[in-house]
Amino acid sequence: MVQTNRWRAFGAEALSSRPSATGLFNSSRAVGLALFAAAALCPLFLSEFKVGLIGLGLTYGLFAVGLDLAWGRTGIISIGQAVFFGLGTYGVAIALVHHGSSLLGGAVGIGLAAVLGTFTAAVGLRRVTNPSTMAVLTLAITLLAEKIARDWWSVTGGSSGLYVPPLTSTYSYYYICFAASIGLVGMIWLAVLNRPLGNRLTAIRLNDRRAEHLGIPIFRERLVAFALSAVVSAIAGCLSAPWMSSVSPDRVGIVLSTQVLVWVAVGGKATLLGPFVGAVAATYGQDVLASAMGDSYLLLLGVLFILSVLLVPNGIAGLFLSGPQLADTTPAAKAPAGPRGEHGGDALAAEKIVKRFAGNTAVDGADLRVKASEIVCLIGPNGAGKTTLLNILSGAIDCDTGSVMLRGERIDSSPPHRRVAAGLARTFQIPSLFPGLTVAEHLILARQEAGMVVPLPDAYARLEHENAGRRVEMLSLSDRRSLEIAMALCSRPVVLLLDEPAAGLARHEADALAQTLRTLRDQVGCAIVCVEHDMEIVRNLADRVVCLHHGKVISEGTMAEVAANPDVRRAYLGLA
Amino acid sequence: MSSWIQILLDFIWASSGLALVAFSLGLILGELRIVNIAQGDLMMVGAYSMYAMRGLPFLIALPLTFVVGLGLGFALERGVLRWVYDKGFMATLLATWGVGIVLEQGAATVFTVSQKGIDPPIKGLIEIGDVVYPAYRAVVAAGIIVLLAVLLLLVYRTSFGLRLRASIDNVEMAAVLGISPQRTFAMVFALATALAVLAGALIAPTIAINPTLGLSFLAPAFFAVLISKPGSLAGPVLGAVAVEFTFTLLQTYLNITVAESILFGLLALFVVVKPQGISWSRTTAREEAS
Repeated sequence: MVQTNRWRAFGAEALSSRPSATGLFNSSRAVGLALFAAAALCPLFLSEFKVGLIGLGLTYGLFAVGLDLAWGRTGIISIGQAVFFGLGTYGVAIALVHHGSSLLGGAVGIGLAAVLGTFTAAVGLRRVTNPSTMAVLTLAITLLAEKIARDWWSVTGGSSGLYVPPLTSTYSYYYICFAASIGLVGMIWLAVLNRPLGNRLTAIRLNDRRAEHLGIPIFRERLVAFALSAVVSAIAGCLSAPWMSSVSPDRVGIVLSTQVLVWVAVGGKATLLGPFVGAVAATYGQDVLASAMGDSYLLLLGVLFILSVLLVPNGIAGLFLSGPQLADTTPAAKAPAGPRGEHGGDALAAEKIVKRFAGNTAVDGADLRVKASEIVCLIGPNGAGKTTLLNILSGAIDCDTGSVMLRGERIDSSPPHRRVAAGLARTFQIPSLFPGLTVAEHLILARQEAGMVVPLPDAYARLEHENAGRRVEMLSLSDRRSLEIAMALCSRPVVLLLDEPAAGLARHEADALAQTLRTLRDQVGCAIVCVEHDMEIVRNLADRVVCLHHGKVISEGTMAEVAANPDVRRAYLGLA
Repeated sequence: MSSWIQILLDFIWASSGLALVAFSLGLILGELRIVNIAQGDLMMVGAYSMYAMRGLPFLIALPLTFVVGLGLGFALERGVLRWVYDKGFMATLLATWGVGIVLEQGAATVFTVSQKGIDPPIKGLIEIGDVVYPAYRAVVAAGIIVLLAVLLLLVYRTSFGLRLRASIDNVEMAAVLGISPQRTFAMVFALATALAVLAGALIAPTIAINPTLGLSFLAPAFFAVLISKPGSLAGPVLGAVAVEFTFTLLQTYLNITVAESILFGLLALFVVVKPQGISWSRTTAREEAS
């Protein structure tokens, strides 16, 4: 029941989140070129005033691209993005007012934005922090910045703001903005989005837990994305200053922060063109409509925003774009089949692991030793602490006390992505994949993170060949599980952790699974720790069985030994 | 001495209003898992509703406004929010963001942006020592404290409260026990909306009413929710008192903008040290055992 509900949610999430990362350079190339030409040629046809509006719209578009780096690409919410924009604007405006170098002023503004952005992200985006934290922090920053701009009269000119000298030539500045916007967006595309980093950001947005268990350092990459988004927004702010007659506190405030969200949402998240379309249309339309409708123009904008969130979650550009979401970053390096170098001791050794949840002891001093290439099955009644132990091994949660060693290297305080690099890979009870991505794209991500291409065992190679272009929602449950294992194998794991790999499979699939996994072990040479309830599979799969009960190991040995143990029988029959 | 009594009274006044808003915010976050950015705008609706009904006696306008809040909340939940529950945290946040814009601009269209004011129904002053304090504020603060006490008793001591907390803790499990998520969501959002609207209505006579008045309450109310454990209902109330206490102290010695900046810095520090918030009681923990 619960499981089917989650699946429904998974599917819905998938349908609502398939913006295209390659955007501009795909099926919409014609639209993109037409808009590019229109922007390049519009000064020939339009009045100076209208050109000024579009020029301002372009800088707003760049601002929206900045927000999109955080929000559309990486899934970090920022409802105070105008702070970064405003720092750039004020930097330039203050320099202009004092007849200083606007380049220097802008650089200071951009620098401050980078520092503030990094600081905010460092506080709000840690693994343990609640998702609402970032929303509250960014909201508070924009409210606060507006107050400071109002109060700090000597620097910001207070509520009336700073008067910016008018441009000497609208047309030449228009082309400066045009070139700067295109150039910067091109650089972002080439240096970030079309690179492994861009793939990582997409992975984090789609499924952060899966991303980190694939080896992606999610905190660091989110930090980078948010700092970058702050810098791009600040650069846009710098460019916009000369278009304004005065720079007032609303440049850092909540209304502008709101508007940029609307531009991105309506234009199209995670596209290069969408933010520009949204921003230019809104800036131009605001002038036309505001003179016709007055304040109710903003009301219309709000209604439009709600409708776009409800009906077109991918915005206008999302309606036209489709195509691959990831750059093909498959590494050239090939790895030999077989295990990593030999190591004398145990592959994995967990000692005296204790984990309490609010006074409830889930794991109570459990030990687990796994030899190289050994298959260990963890069994035990529901609530015995099996999955909790697996989560502690993989780093999804921290244990209260105890130690975890992987090939003699202590890993219990490492975040999941380091454990993956050290040779620990895992799957989840409900397969954890990237909604909206194809099988091939999943493997691109896994191989990108591994830095090499590892040959897959036959069963998994077949999955890749037969289903490469299919999105994961279209796969059967057993194929989804196989894909998860295939991704795990890409990292050449020393130990593979499987959480109930047979749950929900049909009888014949479950029977085949034990054989597939044993073959996998023989070909790849990794050890396997497998939580499993299906005793038939355990019997066929396990080299050794470990039975947990109330968080303690109560018996271990061969299946026959464990099954004969009176404590195990008591635990399963509830006579504890 | 007298200045301290004044500060104490101001603190009680400010923290009571904030606590009511924070409680409603925490209710929505706990049950619906939604960060409701429109909460401040709901207060604004309450203030304008009182302004629109300024011809009526206060004690008739107030319950009417509460009913307006219930209706608005119900309409928003059924009309907007329920369509985005399965689209994830950000979609719900943006939807409430959009609702906020529409409410603000709607108010600006109907009432214009010029500031409005209404008279307090109680105009007298009370004297404590040599401090003179508006009686209206004292009565409202006392009223809110009683209301919050009743609400918390309702939440922690009645079967309705038990069902609510069960649903907050695990909505799927509660559904299995016959607590309909749809009905609970609609009811909780309507109630929380009505409480925010009520808070706005109560403070309306003491402030300048304008379409963006809610914004200044939003950040501190979120701070109050953020420092308490997710899903706790008493937490935001205590959090509001803690936030307001800190702010009152800072504001006593510093310029208000500097005080707010420091408050924000303290919050950031707090989030670093206690990313999961404070558990105000010892048994409300709700960690995932999966």
